[in-house]
Amino acid sequence: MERIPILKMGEFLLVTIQVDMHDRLALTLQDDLTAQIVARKAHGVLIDISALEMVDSFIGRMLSNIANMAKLLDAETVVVGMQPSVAITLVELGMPMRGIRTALDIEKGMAALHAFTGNRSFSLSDGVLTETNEEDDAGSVL
Amino acid sequence: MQVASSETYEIRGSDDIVVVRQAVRQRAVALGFNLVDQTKIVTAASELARNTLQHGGGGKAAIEVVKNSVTSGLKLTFTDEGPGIPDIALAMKDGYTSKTGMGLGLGGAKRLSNEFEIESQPGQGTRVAILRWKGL
Amino acid sequence: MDTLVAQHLLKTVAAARLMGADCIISGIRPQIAQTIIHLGVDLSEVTTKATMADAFQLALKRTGAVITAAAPGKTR
Repeated sequence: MERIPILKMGEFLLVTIQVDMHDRLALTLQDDLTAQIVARKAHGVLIDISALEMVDSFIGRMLSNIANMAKLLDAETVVVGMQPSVAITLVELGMPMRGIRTALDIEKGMAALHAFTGNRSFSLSDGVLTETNEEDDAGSVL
Repeated sequence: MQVASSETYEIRGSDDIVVVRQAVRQRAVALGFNLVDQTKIVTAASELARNTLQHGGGGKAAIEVVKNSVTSGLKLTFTDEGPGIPDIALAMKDGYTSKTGMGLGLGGAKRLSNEFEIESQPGQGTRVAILRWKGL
Repeated sequence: MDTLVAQHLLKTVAAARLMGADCIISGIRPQIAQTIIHLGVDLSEVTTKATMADAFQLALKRTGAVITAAAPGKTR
């Protein structure tokens, strides 16, 4: 059976949805992600939907479910890369998309996850993500 | 309004929902709909196809290219011989979920289209038609 | 601005926020403010500022950008 691959990136999981999903595939993704969050002790999930040309209420609900289930498992979720036409359509459709955090791209999504999971600190400037360490702050001018 | 072409798809399983929305996407692209309008009609088609399957027990989707004096458009008609909808006004309200979970389908599809029609009687199945004109 | 335009603006804001972009709306006139409230829309998550200058300053601050003055007497 086809599955959408789930990659591990540090303490986060990354999922890139690139196919027009039929319902079974979406449900399998939900199951796989929750299993992987536990198995890999992940604290964050990044779902890249930049290739999705359509999000209907079923997929919207799937994303909400994933975010809510992940939260129960102590993981934050960020959905990234929503296409403008998809966003406009979702607003018109009236899909509430509650509890879903979004970011414009993977880089910003990762920064958001790091901020939410509060383990490390990062700064984002000029499109460059830099990790800031305790030692750097002492005596330096930022 | 003239009908320039017509094709029909069976909706028997959830894979058919994908088939229908890909067919709608192809037609919308061929007609020259802009990206937002394409996405709107494909999404509406997905909602209605799913309703046909889950509430209607399966049925058909007809995709027609239509023309009026000003422009062309796509008309989609979803029919099933399921239980029908006893209270259409209630079913069109957002947040309403029947036993079979129609949710946003009808109200959403209407908002995403230029024209919307529905006929349904308990015991007589359901027919929902939506239309989007190019450039509107 | 009439209700239709106000609705359109608010939908655009909603779509931008769905994509993950923050929105700052500036320069809302009193009548428009009334229209928006009458439409019953929840703008609690959207920042509004009185002037464009205030909005721009806030946007710069949020993205971590800093404007420094060039040395006096220098032209570009």
